[in-house]
Amino acid sequence: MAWLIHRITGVALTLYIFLHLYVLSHIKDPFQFESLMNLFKNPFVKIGEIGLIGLVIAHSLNGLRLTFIDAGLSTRFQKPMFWTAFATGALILMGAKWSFIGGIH
Amino acid sequence: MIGVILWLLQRVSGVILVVGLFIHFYLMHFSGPEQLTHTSVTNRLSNPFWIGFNGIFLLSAIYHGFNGLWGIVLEYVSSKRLLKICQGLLFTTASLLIVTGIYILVISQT
Repeated sequence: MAWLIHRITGVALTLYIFLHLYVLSHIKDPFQFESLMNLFKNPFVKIGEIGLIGLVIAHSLNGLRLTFIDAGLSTRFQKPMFWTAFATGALILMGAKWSFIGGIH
Repeated sequence: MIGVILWLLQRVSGVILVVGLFIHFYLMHFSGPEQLTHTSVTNRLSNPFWIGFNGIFLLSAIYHGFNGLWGIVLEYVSSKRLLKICQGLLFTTASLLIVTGIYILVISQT
């Protein structure tokens, strides 16, 4: 299950690079840049943003877990680490959610 | 041998991304909305530290994403010909994205 989540979130995050660079390509046009940034006030974009940070957290924490296992940590800890990562991730996501909804995106 | 290097670089870029993303999110999204204005973004980009940070961040992200996609392709594609095509496509797309990113960094300096 973890590998499937890792795969899907990984592909989604790679596709997001295109969108991110597209937004940044307006760096020389302050007006366009600001109007793109104002999109973040849209509730649908906010939901998308929370989803995005969810993908980042899931992929990061599971990636760290894989790195620990590759580095030689016993596979005995594989399952407990998955649940630790899951709980930590959920906590960070909840904190991040308030920050996004509160407008401090 | 090449496989081992790709695997190791995937781990190294992954760790760079975790640290980089932490800084990125903390600064851009949790330190107040004024961090995202055009003025503050361009101001940061005139600082050599942030130019370096963004350059390394860009390279790590694109390498990590596209090497990851390559790993998935290797698992599902068995035809040698198709593998070559996918490799070419991934390599070209990744290179174009890196060029775009560096281009953005360069024009932001003028």
